[in-house]
Amino acid sequence: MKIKKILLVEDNPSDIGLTRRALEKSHVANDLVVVEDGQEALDYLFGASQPAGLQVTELPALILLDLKLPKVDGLEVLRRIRSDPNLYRLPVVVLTTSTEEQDIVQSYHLGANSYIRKPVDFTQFVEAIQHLGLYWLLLNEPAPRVTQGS
Amino acid sequence: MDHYDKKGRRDLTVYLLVFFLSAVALIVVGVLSYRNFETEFRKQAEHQISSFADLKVSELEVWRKERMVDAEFFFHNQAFSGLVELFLEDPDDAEVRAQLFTWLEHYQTFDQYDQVSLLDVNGGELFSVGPPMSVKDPGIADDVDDCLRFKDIQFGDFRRALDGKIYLNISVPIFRGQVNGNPLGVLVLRVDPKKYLYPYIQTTILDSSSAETLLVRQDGEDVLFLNELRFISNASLNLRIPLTDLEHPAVQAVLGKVGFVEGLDYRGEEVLADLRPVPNSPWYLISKMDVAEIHAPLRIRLRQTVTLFGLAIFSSGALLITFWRQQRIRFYRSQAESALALHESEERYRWVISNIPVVTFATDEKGIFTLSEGKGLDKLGLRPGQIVGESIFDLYRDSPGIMDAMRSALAGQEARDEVTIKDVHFDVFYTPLFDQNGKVVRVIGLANDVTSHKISEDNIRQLNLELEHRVRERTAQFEAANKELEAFSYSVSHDLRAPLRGINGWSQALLEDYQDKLDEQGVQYIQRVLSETRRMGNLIDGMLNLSRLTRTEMVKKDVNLSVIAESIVERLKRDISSREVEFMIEPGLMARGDPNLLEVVLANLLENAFKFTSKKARSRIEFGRTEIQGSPTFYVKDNGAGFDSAYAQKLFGAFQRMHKNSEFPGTGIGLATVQRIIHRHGGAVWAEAKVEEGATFYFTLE
Repeated sequence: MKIKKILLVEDNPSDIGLTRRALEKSHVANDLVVVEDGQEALDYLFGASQPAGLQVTELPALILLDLKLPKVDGLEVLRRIRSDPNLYRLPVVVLTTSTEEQDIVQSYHLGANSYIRKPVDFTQFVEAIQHLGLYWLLLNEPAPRVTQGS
Repeated sequence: MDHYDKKGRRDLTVYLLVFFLSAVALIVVGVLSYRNFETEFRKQAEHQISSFADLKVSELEVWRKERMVDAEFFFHNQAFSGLVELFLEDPDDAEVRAQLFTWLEHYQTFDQYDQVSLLDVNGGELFSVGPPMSVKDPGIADDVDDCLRFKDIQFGDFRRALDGKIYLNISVPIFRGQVNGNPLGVLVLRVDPKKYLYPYIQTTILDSSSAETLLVRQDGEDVLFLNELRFISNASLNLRIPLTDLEHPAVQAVLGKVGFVEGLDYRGEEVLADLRPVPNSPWYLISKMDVAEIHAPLRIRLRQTVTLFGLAIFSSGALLITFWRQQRIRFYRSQAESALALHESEERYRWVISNIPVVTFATDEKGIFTLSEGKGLDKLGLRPGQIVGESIFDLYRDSPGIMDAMRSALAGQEARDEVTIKDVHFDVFYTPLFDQNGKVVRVIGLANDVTSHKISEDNIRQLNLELEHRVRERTAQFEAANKELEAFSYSVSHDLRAPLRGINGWSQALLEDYQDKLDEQGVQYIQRVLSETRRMGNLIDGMLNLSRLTRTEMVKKDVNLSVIAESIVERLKRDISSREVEFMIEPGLMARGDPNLLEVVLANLLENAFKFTSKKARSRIEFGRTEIQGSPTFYVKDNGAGFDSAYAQKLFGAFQRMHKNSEFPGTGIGLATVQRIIHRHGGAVWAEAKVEEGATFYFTLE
């Protein structure tokens, strides 16, 4: 059984570090793939480029998506994922600083599975990531993959 | 003015009729009175004449009788016949002659005979007393024959003798002894009528210039006038009138007519005559008077009557005319007065119509103007009445509004239209007028100059447009500002929170990973950093919430504030179950507003109260409603720490705090949020407090 990968789309290095740390502290053992802008995320997901340690056919088990991203923003990335027949079942958790109502509404409208606001307090952040990993990677049974090869 | 003349004519007709009737009445009365007078007068005249005639006739009769008495004295008088015998025996016997003379003279003198003669049976004069019978009377022989033959007295008639004089002879036969004796002679008593009879006949007792008495008899086919006449001389026995001339009263008298007749006398004058025969004689007495004379007073009377009644008619006419004229004057005066009054009232209305700043007009059923008045005409450059006679459909054919309104008015519909003529705006009403059959006979119009109104309306519209424009501009600006604020908030939420989270996260990492390398103070410092970042995070969150409140859309509903308060209180009690707090919430407090926002308000106020009573042994928090200055006012009252009322105004500013954070932690955002929400509801919020005696927060909604 392969270790499921988590794709983190986040441009802020501090947040990347803290997220990685939080995941580690939460004992979520999955591989964390980080892309730093929306375009990279799309490239990765649609196989246009291959970041290190990633096979084209291997899709992440979970996408942690920030909204405010360079080039292509998070909502656009989400829209693209949800409109692609291969990708639209991927669980996407919006992980952002914003509590703007319109961001929340838009995210759910575009098919986000969860919307989590990054708390300022790191302790709380860790707790949130813990819950997140526990739920999406362990508790949640993902939809069977029709197109998956051997 | 027609009916005035008609009335005048009618009056005049009445007056003329009255005048005519009264004149006829007066004339009838005049004529009747004149007739009456005439009859009376005539009667009087006739009476005079007839009494006069009576007198004459009776006197004539008496005269004849006296003559007869005289004659009869000698007739069958044996003494006289004896004397005559003696005389005849001896005509020269002086004694006999003296005796005879005495007898005869006595009669001749006293009875006024002209001559008394004794004739022989052949008519020869034997003896005479008086003037001698110097002139022979050829008729005397016949008299002698007649009286001797008839042996009776012969009363002769007037007869002209050869001397040209007229005599009347009474012949008395004288017989010897008795009647049947031999005739001795004839005694002739000769009367000279000029001496007594004619004057007597002519004598009139009437005071008259024409009264005359005639004595006539028939003589063959003529009427013979016997006496001398008043107006022509030498008429007696000369004047004759044929019996065929019936217009002569004398003729009628002779033909047997008795009484009064009118006719022509011998002069051809019209006369009134009394006819009567003289008894025992062939004579007829005609007493006559000229009609002219009789009528003279009548004419005077007629003149008087005519004058009198003429005057009466004239005066009545004059009176009527005067009366009529007065009537007319009164009538015309009243007419004039009412006309004046009418004129004045018309003037008044005309003045009003002419001076109000509108156009009053009227048209007939074809749209031809019959009236155009009013000050409003000035603005059109029209004189009052100038367009009268012209068709509205010609004059304003270029104004479809007028055409349409006029057509519907002529069709019986009231119409209203606004029209602009020569830069003047008119609000025009068209009102149709109907006859009894419901047919439109004219249209009355009122055009009100609404130019200034229109201008101000336009101005207002312009201002409104500008205002709207400005509002739109402002709204756009406001929306832009809102967008900016949104963007700003977004940035703040992302950009400020991210580094803060970094500081917090890495500080936490430092503390976790390098705790062994930090002394106790170092750990404390890092913990201070952590708490400050948490606090700043709260501040940022509070600020974002506050800004979000001003942006979220409000949905107003009927809200039960009591229920909301109860749920908040339940939560507070659950969260901090250690405290003893007495909550008093008035049930059923209804308000209108956004339920979510009002919940925020109540949560803030109740949480505050809860927080600031935390140091009290017995906390009491009250939510209720009261009335302040007529408005329902909600309040949240506590018995907590309170504050100095001097700072009450600062209380509602963002980040304003009354207490030290160490005493009562807080962000200073809560009351600012409350105020924002209350203001958004159009209400007010204020506080009353005393230090350590608690605080009361009041708020109203709209």
